Amino acid sequence: MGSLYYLVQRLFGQKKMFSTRAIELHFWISTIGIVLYIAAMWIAGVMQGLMWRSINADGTLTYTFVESVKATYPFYVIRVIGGLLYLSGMLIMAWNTWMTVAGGRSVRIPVPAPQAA
Amino acid sequence: MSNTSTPGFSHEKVETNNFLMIVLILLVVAVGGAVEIIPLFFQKSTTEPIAGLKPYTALQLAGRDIYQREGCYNCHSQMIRPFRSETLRYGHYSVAGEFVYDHPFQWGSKRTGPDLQRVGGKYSDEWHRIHLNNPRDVVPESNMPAYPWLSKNLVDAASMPAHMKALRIVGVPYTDADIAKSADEVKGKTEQDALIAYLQSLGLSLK
Repeated sequence: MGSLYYLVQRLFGQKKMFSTRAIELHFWISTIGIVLYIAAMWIAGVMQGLMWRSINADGTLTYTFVESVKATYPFYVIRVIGGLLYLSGMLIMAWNTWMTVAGGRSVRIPVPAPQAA
Repeated sequence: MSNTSTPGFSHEKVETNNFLMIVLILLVVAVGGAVEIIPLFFQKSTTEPIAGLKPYTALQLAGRDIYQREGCYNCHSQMIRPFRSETLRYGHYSVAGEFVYDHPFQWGSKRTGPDLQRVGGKYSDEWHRIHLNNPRDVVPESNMPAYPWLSKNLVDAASMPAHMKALRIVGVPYTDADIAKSADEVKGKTEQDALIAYLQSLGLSLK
């Protein structure tokens, strides 16, 4: 995405993107979003694994499968929040790209009529 | 830079020639992979069905297609690992001989839902019916989607003979009689009937 921000302005003949602050906002929203996403899935995965293998002193399983599903729900909510943050970062980028491209419309230059020899 | 490059085939030649390096790496990986994989094609434990394993009936086979079409494998594995906690929860661990009639097998690795390799006979047909229509009716905490349309759609009976013939080509021992009656066997059955027949057949040959 960094490379796209670098390229888009040049492709459309601009000196810089429409809003540099929007790029910074995108960066931080994406960073926070992806960290939430990764951390939630990481913790949930380890938790599920530990719950599945947990065995009582008498040799029976501690948790049913659906108890592990239930325990995972809060992490799914965090994942949704992370994913939405990431998505909104992309929307900011789309808006920024649109505004940049719109500002760089091509200009019609009159072509001089060929002179009769 | 040293000028003392050895003549002929040297290590230096490999290290300084990208294309040669790529070719040699591919060669090494191919040989290594072949040595690991090819013996499995000829080992009894991987090629022969375990005692009591039967090919899927026409209805079970139709259900297996529904299983794949709806993407059940995206959340359910059919692969019980040889861990104490897994065999306690699901039953005997999976062995290769159980899957010789599966083309392709449905092992999976994503375990959002429980493993289904030995789900056959675990619940009643009626339980499955309610569960497929709305999982929350029998398991309140479940996050599985509902599949209500399965009870309305009919199985595509006309395609069964061709399907079974194709499976016979890859080694499933269907007889001509099996194939001839397959369309009639599934005629009028709903997709839900077929899927339940498939689920109830899973993992019965090794308990």
